[in-house]
Amino acid sequence: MARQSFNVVLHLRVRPCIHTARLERHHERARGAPSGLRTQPARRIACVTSTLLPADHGCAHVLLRTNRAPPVQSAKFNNSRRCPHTRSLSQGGVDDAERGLFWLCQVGMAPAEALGVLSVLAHSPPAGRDALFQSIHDNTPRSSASSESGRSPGAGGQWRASNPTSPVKAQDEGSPCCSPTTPVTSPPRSASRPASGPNSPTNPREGFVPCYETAAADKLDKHAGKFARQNVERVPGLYEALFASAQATSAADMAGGRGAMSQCVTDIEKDISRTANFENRMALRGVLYSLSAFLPGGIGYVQGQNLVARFLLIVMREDQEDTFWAWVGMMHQFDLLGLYTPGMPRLRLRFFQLNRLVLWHLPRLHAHFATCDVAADLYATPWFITLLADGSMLPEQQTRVIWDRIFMQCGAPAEQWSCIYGVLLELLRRAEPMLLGLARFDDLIQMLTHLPIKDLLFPGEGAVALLERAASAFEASVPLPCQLLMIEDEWHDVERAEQDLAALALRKRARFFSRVASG
Amino acid sequence: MARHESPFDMQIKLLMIGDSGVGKTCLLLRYASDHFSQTFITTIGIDFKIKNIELDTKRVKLQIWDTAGQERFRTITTSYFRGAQGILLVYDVTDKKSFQSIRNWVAQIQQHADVHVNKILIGNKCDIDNEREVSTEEGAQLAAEYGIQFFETSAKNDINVEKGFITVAREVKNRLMADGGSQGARTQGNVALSAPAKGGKKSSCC
Repeated sequence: MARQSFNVVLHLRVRPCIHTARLERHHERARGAPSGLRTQPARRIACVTSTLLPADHGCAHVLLRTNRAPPVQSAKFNNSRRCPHTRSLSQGGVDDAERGLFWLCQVGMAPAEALGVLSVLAHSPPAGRDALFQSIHDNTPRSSASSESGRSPGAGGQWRASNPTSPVKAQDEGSPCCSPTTPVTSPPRSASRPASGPNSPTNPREGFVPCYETAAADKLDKHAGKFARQNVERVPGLYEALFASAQATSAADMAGGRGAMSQCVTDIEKDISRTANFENRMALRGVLYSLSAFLPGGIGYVQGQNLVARFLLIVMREDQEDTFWAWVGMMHQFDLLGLYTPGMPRLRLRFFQLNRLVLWHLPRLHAHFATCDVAADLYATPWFITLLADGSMLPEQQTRVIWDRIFMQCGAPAEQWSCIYGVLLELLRRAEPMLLGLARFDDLIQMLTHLPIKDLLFPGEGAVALLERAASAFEASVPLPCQLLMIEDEWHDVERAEQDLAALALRKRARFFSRVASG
Repeated sequence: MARHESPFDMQIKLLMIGDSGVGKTCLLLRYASDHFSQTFITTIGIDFKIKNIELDTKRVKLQIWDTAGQERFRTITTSYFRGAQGILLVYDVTDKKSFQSIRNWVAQIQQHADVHVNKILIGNKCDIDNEREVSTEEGAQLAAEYGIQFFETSAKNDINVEKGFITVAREVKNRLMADGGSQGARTQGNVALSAPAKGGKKSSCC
């Protein structure tokens, strides 16, 4: 297999989406770490690492077992622990993960690549981890690591073969992991990435443990409960206080008659009465009122939250306090606030990301959507607002599996969202032939909003398999979270450009009027 | 008539707006699939249904858009105002607030929709007479003020539902026919982004 730089692959991935004028800049960025990782290196990396390595996974121990991991010295590196995401994780696991990452960077790996390795490690069984780790450790190029990894869905593609200049570039950016004094030892090495496999869904999944499908759905209660109790810093008594105050306000509102009710109370009451398949209205009311009181002013209640609350309450066996705190935890993890604030700025980002991912990975579908005027906000709004809990996309059992993954890995927004995007992309990929066959706008939207999920899954297949397939199909060169971060950066650029244009138009108009006024 | 391969002569895009919970989705469900569900669902974002009808010897395909009523979703929903040819303003006769915000919705239409869009006022849930907060006269008065038609409907008891949709569809059809027969055959994309939309914007800022 031709040796190919990780960075070049990254560049090729970015290329289709940008205009010629911006190509240069992206090329420049692509030469280092993924741009998303470079804006705030310490913070981002700490977030993503803590994400990629669940505390109980133990892969960090694999990294440490060689006793080569140096003690954590860099002050910058220590600072990274101030990140709220890492802080909420159990201390031991994060330490190990950070050390693992630190060690990988010290042997000359660029942060982005180290993250890639860790992501592979985090999702592979112990045997695979050992094999992969050994290969990195020995600095020996391997071509068929996939067979040893025990997880591979197919023959492993070359994940990375370093270009000697790239790790040095990453250092220049003030990477927390490579202090300038650290000698970089023998950069060229390669590791096979077991996750990259063929795209065909007919490919049998070897080495996959199917029993996880049901186990994940069954254990969701346990994992979610553990998440709500251990990974969220609860403020004792806050829930009761919020609940009491919310009750008082809503009671006062209701006493004043319907006309006096605040918009928030009206909306919640309306939506509680139309939340289907859930009997415990009191619990729903408690959680929704408390949350609207907890959120910063101006946010209040957003339609669709009732479905998230319903799903979480079922998962938490109707324990309101656990539900509330789990939701608060998810709020941080998924960066949900921006989804809820007026104007929904982050929702537009989600559409942008979905659009880009479809462009990168399913270009024919993207072109078809463009010709038929199909935009993401027409079909994807409920998926994002409810994090797939609305039941329109996936049956409840499958959503449970995805949420289980989310609670288990408990990570940074990009990593958490990558689960959702992975599933969406995989389903779109499978539905692609059907969608390409539909030429009319309304048929397309109907199909997208009511995906024939039963036809898209293979017999006995569940969401875990979907996620696995998504990983093999869409993460061939760059992990999905990194792709999301890259797109997010681009989105910020686009937004800034739009703001500049608007400002320019305003200035022009002002000039025009001043000319008119002066005659 | 002209094109035999096409199952319809004209496509009309209708949009339903109004506060959350006034029964937009129920009205649409009643009209498009003639049933009423006791388990209501919240519309998140935007949704639409298709209904093929025969209108004065023309085969018309109605594309009816159903929007989320909550203000938060307005960034998404208002982008679909443009291109709508007919708009149904829906309020709940048992909820004074939803009636009062009709003025607000009309302002939204002026800001975001085409200038010539046909409108109709619908007071839903007229079957619940004992909880009524908005009288028929008030509704009719408001409609007269805007110079638009007015119906009181009940999605539950199937009162006036079809009439409301047909009326606005007919108004749109007549307008399009008067504008020139060719306009009716246009696709919705053309109508959406052509000159009238720009005109609407201009009139709002000057």
